[in-house]
Order: sequence, then structure tokens, then C-alpha cells
Amino acid sequence: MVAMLLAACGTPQITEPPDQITVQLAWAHEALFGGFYAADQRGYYAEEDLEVTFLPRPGLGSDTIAPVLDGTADFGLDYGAGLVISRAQDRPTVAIATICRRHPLVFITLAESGLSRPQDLPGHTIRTLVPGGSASAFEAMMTRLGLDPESVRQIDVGFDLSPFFAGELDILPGFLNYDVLIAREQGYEVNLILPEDYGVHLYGYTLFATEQLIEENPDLVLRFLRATLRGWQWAIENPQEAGPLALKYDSTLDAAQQAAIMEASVPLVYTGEDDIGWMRAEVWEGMYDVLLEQGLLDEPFDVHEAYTMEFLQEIYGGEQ
Amino acid sequence: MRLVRNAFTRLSTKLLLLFLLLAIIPPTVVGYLAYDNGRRTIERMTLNHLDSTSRLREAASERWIAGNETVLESLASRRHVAELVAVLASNDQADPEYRAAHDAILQDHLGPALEEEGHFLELAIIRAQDGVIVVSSDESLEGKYRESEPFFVEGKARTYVGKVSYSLSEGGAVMHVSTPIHDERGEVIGVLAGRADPAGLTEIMRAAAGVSASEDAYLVNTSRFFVTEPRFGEGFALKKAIHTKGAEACLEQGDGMGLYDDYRGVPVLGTYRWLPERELCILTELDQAEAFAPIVALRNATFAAGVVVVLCAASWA
Repeated sequence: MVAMLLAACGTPQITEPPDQITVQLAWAHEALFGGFYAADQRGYYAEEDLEVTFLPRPGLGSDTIAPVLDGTADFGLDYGAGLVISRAQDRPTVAIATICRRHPLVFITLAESGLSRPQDLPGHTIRTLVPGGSASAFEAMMTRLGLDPESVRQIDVGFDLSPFFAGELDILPGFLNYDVLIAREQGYEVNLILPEDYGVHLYGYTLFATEQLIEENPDLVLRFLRATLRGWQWAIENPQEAGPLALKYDSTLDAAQQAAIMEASVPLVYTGEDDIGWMRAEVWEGMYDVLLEQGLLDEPFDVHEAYTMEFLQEIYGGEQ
Repeated sequence: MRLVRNAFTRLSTKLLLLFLLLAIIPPTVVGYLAYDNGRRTIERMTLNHLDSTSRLREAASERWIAGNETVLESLASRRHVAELVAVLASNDQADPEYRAAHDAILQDHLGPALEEEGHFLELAIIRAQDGVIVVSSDESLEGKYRESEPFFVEGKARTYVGKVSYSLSEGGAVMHVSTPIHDERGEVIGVLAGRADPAGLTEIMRAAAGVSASEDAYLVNTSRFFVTEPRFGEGFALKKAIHTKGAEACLEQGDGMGLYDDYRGVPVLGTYRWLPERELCILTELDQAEAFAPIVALRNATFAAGVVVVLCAASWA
């Protein structure tokens, strides 16, 4: 009788708390990370029994890989080239998916300047290039065309775009989903010189973890990636709603601008060629070649160790 | 006397009820069976119709693609084109011969083909040795590299039809078709590439809907994204994914038909076909409301007539 009563009352269910995950973002909170925010706010992480915290990048010069290596974060975002360099430095990072399959980097000129091809650039001025980032892409693009990268003079104007709009700076290394939007919003017609049009193919924001996490807890990596890709799928389908999700993490952001950033990010994330996040060996090999040619890799290594398709194949199934 | 009158009243009420039941039940049963049979017939006929139009659209798409291939193959096989491309491949851009060959290709071949055929938004010749666009009907693309693009890599070996994808350089959804250009020794010296407008596929999908107010047809890729614009949506191509039962079943690489909710959440009759050559699904659907409208109208009319009969009988009683 007592047993029956106990059974009727029910024993309290012991539920495991969700796994706590920390993600080191590659920038301050922005709609650039809209898919992650969507996975968080739409409950995709919760469905995978995850509770996720995002760490914004503290500053431009800060390293987004170190917090993942020292355990402050479980996953991180960095450019594909940054991860190749990291790997060459014997840092045990492994890319698990690329979020921006097309790098947003673009060299912007004012349309009225008539500068529309790399061949037009020598003798002009460019905003200071970031080593390992815009500098690598610019050098690779110019070198490939037989042009001297040094023929373009770098000027430090910080993040102020007014010298560019005033014509005091000829070339602005910027992002398709940010600087181009600002320029057009302010009524400027611009020319876009895309490194990928000149044989420089780079992955943009790429999601990575440590070798140790991948080996010791592949289930956690799989669940996190699956929820993240769901978030990105939703964000791509609903950019106007996904952009403003960033305001939860930084209430000072402008909702309309975040929606525009997300809208402009869609063709960088989903290109129609492969599934969201999918990586191709030839792009990793191309990035490696560019960096090796520029002497940015300490020593040659097998670039295929810098990424794994294990989780993407598990999620999407097989080759594409 | 009163007893006789009461007995008569009870009998007449019973008879009335009996007559009412006899008047209502058989027609109701027959009506239901007729309705069910009619609905099934309409369902079968509609699905067969959708399957037929789906096949027609598939054939039209293939003709459109084959037409694009033929235009390119015909251009690439012209001896004069091959001779001019050979000049571009072996001369420096600054040489007068290079400029003359460039202009001749554009004016005598690519330009007229672009105007006459109307299949392509842009035609270009890509140098085989390095993947650089040496001639393009869109001058702003000349000098750009396409060395890793599948339409260049594959196009060196055979006529190739690419996936509908987003091009940052060209600023929108594109579909590339390409074919090799050989010199007189049979060596590949260039790739002729055409940028077809995916809107052409949308037009094909939208055609053949006839007078239907809701017949819809569209293509979906293996990532579950729309490739063409559906009838009830704009800006869906490569931006909206679809998760309907029809799309899911088709992406399992199957053909079939059935009743399910479409991308708007509206109940439809639909057929789906997997196109293995293109790795695409074609879905053709019609709103159930439109398909079943005649039988629903008949059902409603019958029901209304039945109600009138009952009301008349009741008032007479």
C-alpha cells in the first residue's frame, strides 16, 4: 500500500544541469554572430542540453585563440588564415565549421576615384593593414598580379571613415557586411575589389575547438555545432529578425543597423554551393599556400590537421 | 374518443419521424459516399495532373539547360573563336594582336550570341592556363580569376552546368554553364562560360499553371533552400529553406505525391520529383481548398437542401 502511494505521488526526477559552454567571439557583440544568438534565444542550445555564454573580443589586438587554449572558452571564432597560422605555431586548435564561407574582406574605393582593379592601386594610399588578416590578403592579391604591395602607402587613420569619404584616403580595407553598408548608407557609390576575384580564397569567421576537447568530448562538440548550425539556418532565413537579437547582449546597438548587417552577411554564410558551415580542402590548402609564400608560417605542416570534417559529416551526412 | 385521438396523434408523430428518418438517412449515407468518392476522384485526378505538369516543367527546364549548353558548344566549336582565343593565350595583353583578337571575339561572337539567344546575362572566355577572364561581355569582370570555380575546373574537361549559387562578384544568384575551347591540336586553351539567369528557371516553374489560382511549382536544392521563387513569395531563392513533408521526402531522393502542408502552412495536394542530374527537387502543388472546391460546394448544397427538407417537414408536422 505504501509502495503504491509512493508510486502514485511519484519520485522526484533528478535532472542533470545543462552543459555550460563558453564561446569566444571574434569581435564585439554584433549581428555578425546572429546565428549564435538565434541558437541561444530560440532554444536550440537548450534542446541540446547546453547553456552558452558568449565572450566578446576585448579589443582589436587581442588574441581570440588564447582564451580557448587556456580553458577560458570552449569554442572560439577566428579567421581561417588565423587558424592556419595558429596551427603552424603548434597551438592545438582544430576548425570544426566555417561560418563565413566567403571572407567579408574587401578593398573599397570611391567610385568617383576610378580605382576599380588592383592594377589601379599602386601610388595610392590605404588604411593600415592588419598583419595576418587584411595585410595577407592584400599582399597575396597584389603579388599574384605581379604588383608590388609596397607600391601602396599605408596610412593610420584608425577606424574613422571620414578621411576615406573626404578623399584623403584612397583605399579602405573593410568588410562587405559593415563598411560597405556604412558607405552606401551615407550615399557614397563605391567600387569593391574582392580578393577572391584575384585568386585569394580565404575563409572568414571559422569555429574552432581544441584537439583535447574534440578527442575527449566529441558528443559535446557535435551538440554545440548542430545547434549552432540550426541557429545560422534560422538567421539566414530571417535576417531582419536575427540581426536585432544582438541587442540582448549589447543594448546600445541599433536594431535597424544590426538587421542590415545580418542581411548583408547572408551571402557570405550560405552561398548555395554547400551546406552552411561546410569546408573544402582546396580552400584550406589555398590559405596555407598564401601564408607560406608570405613567410607567415613558422614551418611547413599538413594543413589538413587544422580542420576536421567529422562533425559536419555527422550532421549533414557524407561528402557534398 | 380522447383515447382514440391520442393514439392517432402518437401514431402520426411516429409515422412522421419514420418518414423523416427514411427521408434523411439514406440520402445522407448516399451523399457521404458520393462525396467521399468524388473527393477521392478529384484527389487522384489532381495528383495525376500535378505529376504531368511536373514532368512538363522538368522537361522544359532540361530544354532550357540543354539550350544553354548548345549555344555555348556551338560558339566554342567555331574555328574562328578558337583561333582568336589562341592569340589571347599566347600574346601579352599590351600587344595589338591581343587587343584585336579580344575585340573580334566580343563583337563577332559573344555580343551577337548574347543578343540573339537571350539565354545568358554574360558570356566570358577564361584562359585555360591560369583561370583569368580574358574576354567578357561585362568588361568589369575581365582580369578576374575563376581558377578554382567548378565551372572553370570542370569546364576544361566537358560541358558543365553549375549549381545555382550566390556570386559576390556578380552581386546575385547565378548559374554558370561552361564548355572547353580546343585549339587545332585538340588542346584545351580556354573555357567559354555563360552566366545564365536563374530567373529563367523561375519562369519555367511558373508557366503551365493555367487558370489555377494556387498551382505552384519550384525547385529546392539539397540544403533545403529554394532555388527558384515560389508563386507566393519573393526573395526566397537561396534565402529561405523549406521543411515540408513533400520536400523532406523528395530530398531522400524519392518521387511521390500526397497531401501535406506547404511552405506557407497551407494544406496542398503535391507531387515531388528528385532530379538526380541536377541534384534538385521539383515540387508542384495545388491548394486543397481549390482542388476540392467543386465537391465541397456540392456537399454544402446537398446539406443545405437536406436542412430545408427537414425544416419543411417539421413545420408541416
